[in-house]
Amino acid sequence: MTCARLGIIPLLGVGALAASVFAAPPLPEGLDLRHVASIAVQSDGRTAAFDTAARQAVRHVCGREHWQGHDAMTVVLSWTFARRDWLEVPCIKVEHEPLKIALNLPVERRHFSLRELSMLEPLQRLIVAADEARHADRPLDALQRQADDVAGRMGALQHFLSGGGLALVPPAGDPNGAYVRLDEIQHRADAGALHAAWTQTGQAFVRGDAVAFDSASRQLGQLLRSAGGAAYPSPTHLAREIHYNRVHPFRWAWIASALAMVLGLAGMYLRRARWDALTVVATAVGCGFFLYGFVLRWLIAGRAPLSNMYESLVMFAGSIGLFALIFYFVFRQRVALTVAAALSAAGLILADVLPLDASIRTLPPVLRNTAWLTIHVLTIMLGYGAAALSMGVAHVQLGLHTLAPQRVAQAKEVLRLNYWIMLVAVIFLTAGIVFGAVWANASWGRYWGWDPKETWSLITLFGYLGVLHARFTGWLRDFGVAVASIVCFQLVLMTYYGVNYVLGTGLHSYGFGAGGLGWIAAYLGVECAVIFGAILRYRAVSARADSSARTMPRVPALAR
Amino acid sequence: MAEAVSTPLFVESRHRSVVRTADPWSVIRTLGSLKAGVTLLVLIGVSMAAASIYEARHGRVAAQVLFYRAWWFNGLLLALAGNIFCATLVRWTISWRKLGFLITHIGVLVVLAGALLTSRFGIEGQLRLEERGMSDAISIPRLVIGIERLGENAPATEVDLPMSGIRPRAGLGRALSATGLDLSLVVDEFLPNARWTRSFEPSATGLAAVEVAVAGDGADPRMSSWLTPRSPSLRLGSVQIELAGPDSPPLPDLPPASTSIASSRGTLTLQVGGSTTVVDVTSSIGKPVSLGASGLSVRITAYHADAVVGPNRTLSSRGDQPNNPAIEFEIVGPQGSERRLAFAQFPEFASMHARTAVYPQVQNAYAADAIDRAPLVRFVPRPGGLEYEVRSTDGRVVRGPVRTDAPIAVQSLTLPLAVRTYLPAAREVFAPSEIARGEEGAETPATHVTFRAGGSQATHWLGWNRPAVVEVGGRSYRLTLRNREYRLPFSVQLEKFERETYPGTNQAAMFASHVTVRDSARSEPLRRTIQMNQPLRYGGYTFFQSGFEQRGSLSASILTVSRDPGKWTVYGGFLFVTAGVVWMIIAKRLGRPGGSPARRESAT
Repeated sequence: MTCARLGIIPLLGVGALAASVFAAPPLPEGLDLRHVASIAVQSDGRTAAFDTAARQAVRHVCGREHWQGHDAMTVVLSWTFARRDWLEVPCIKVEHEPLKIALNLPVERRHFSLRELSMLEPLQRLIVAADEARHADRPLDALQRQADDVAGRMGALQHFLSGGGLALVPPAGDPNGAYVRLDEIQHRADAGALHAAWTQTGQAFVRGDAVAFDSASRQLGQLLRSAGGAAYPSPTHLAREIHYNRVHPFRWAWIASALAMVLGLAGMYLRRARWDALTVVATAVGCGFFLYGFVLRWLIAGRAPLSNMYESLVMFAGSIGLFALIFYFVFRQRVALTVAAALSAAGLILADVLPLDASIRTLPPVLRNTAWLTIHVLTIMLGYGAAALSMGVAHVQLGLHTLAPQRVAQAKEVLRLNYWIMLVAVIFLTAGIVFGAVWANASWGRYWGWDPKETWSLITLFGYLGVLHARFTGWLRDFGVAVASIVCFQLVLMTYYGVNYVLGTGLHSYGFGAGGLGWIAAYLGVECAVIFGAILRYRAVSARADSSARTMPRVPALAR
Repeated sequence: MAEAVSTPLFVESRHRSVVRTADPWSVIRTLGSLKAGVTLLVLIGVSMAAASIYEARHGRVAAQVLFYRAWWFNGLLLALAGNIFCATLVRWTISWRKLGFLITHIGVLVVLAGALLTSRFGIEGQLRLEERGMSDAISIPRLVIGIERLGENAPATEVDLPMSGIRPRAGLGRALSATGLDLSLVVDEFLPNARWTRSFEPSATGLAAVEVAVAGDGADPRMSSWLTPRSPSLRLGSVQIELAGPDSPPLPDLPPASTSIASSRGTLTLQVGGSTTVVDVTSSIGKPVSLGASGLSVRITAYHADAVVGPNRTLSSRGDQPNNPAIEFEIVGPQGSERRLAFAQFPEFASMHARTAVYPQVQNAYAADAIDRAPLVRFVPRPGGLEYEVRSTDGRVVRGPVRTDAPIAVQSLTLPLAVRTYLPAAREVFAPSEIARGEEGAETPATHVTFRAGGSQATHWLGWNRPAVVEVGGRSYRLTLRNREYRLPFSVQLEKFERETYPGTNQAAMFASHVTVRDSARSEPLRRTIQMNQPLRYGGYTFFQSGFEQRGSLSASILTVSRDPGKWTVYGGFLFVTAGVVWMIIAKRLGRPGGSPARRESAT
């Protein structure tokens, strides 16, 4: 044990010395990567553009889609053609602080080299323990999970550095066959030409020779395309995917929404009609980007982008903005617009920032070849969007009741808006459950089976129905409806998020990752505090109003 | 102000004037009141939330029994239906404005009626088909006890388990009769998640059984082991624990650590080429001995009577008792010296742990007498009761009578032993006990049943799909706790199961079952392919691809089979609800300008 630890230190010393001896990896600027970008690559069962696969790989290893300002394709080409130079380069992301402390790594550094990490004996032990736990179906503890994550990153880089590379050679003959890597095609007739083009591309890349790289990569692309024949993805399709990667429409959507929120707030403060128009335009631009991204992603994936947490969260957030526009034009309430812009931006930022898998994936069998996926999830997400909007508007109403109790008419207007939004939410939630039932019957043989997701969607619907009906019994008044619609949104969150992450059971668990519980818990805590504070404040305000009403003639109250 | 806000949207004044004297309407109005409706919505919502949380902890079966299929839960749903029905009656007015309300609420009633049809007359189960296998038996997820009278060629009779309701034990103790057999049974105990463990109970005849456990603070009270003549020994650390026969002679003391044994340290035998050299360890420690004509010599460097291996293959001795004799020696020759270890009791140690040998031509064997002085605890059933005998490492035996749960100190165990149970004559019982979900073996139920037939009775534990043969009233019955079985009027054969993956991965892209339906009503067998989202409909039944099992090259496909007479009613209800809600919105928005409650209230 002692010997082993002593053994590492001198080795690390050598490593640190060697780092200065090794050449910095070639990362040439100014090469035209167009031809490389539109090479088709197969990863995880899907045929994607080289650009996409490179971004995926670099994001996996380094945590971002670029590394020190170099774009993903340059990094991947460098991993492929200058393998040795990368052993010492700190490019593997290790973020989890407790893990760094446990491994005795400097906490302030975020990236480490493959050599550094593979010599850490405690890390190896954690990885082995995580592996054993997984095989024994035991839950992994936090450190093991993080170590396992790091192992995945190391493995991905190792794959490139050991000459693995991407599967970019289309299958000969069989259009449904698997793509293979260049080192797996010795027996094929076109192997020689492909290898030659590949080697020339690599040499030109390492030299940074733009002219040679351009002609070699063009040659390589053409050879691969002709090897793939008719089944090779069309240039338009690949170009669309590259365009989607470059533009990041959903990122622009949240920027526009955030801008709309700022404009809306400014408009409220300044009370100018011109600002309202600007808010509408910014919201519309946000919605436009969202719809553009949605359609692009649909075309790229060949199915509606509604199959996993990332895609549904984007739809959830996007639908809030769409509803806000509709409600604005029906009710002319700019409150809804500002609130929706804030919520929509928050949702899209979460989708962008949270460690959700944003790459386009293949579908499990039950989700394939059915229009119900689109219909069911779309309806449900529209319902959730309306529910979120209702929650946001309810906060405005709470604010009016508690902080500006004299603005009664305005509070009534906001309540009316909230009531209508809830009606819309009920319609979409009902339709979503109905479509879900019909789909469940078509693919599982029963329209209702008390699956936790089904149960919670019904609980949510009952919540909103309860609020809408309780309003007529007198159990809930204006303030009560506002509080209840916030509470009902928590039911939505439980259905959308809690069933999969907190209960962790059921059939509806397609493509979900882990995490985010802290955020949700924080939101829940804040919301509880807001409601509690609002109730206390409202009581005080009402008591004051009552006592003043007693001393005043009752006529004005009746007149209202 | 309060009155103004709480005025119902649905004005009930028309009936109010009539009803003051007419009692039936007032009852219906109470039953169909909004307050009752909202209360029911909240109650059902809370019950469902509780059910789903319960399901996450205790599993699907338990949640179904306790909540979703329980009388009280279905009673709540029925009450909601009644509430909606009464509300619809009370507010029955045909007008454009009210049409939305009527259609929606009638739609909900239709959905609930369809659900009732499904639950009463529908069939939903699983059909498991092995490749090339044929079956007509659907397993329906309702617990039954299947009863077959042995020696008769009659199909099994099924008796439903009476478990339901908020307390699953409520149905216990009720007498159930098996149709066609003059046998009655009572379910005494039901465990939704059971683990089976071996234990013993007293009987008139049989062999002795002793339950041994570690006693004292810090011992796990659930951990114990049974010793019987069939499995008479167990090992706890270095301590051997045994159950001896009643006639066995008393355990003798071992001679105290004697010099005679310790003085002989055995011999080391070495073979090089054809020649063999035997070295006496006692006399030649530290002295080189040449190995014939090979030019090599051997030198024994150390002897350990009770050797333990330390880090880096170093040896040390725990004591001078020859429990584990070992020697260290070196072979010296022109290529330098090679260090070796040899154990008398573990001759394979060298080959397992050796590094590269310098002189692989030299074979060695070490022989020495070892005595087993491992501590021994022995229980002997004597006519006067159970007696214990404890022999410690020093060879001395302590004995005495066993008193239940009294600690028995054993040297080299930190905690004392205790006998928890002693049965002079015992019968083996394989019985389940309740376990928490997540532990191994969870989610298989078990039940304890008493059977009565012809004036005699028998009791038995029944485990999930574990047939048990019970003799009662002079006849033998085979009893199985299992899912209800439903026979299709035709058979389905699985020709081939196909699983396609996405190219270059192991992720499933498609499952397909190629099946043949064999029906005596048809002249030709029907060949079809069932896929996800592409079911087979035949004879009123629908077959869905639901899952598969793969064991080696054998694959089995699992199909969900359903027959649902309520489906179209439910769908009709869905249509009503959707149409009604849309109508309500349109009527509210367009029928009356500004027709929201807020506006209306300010108008009243």
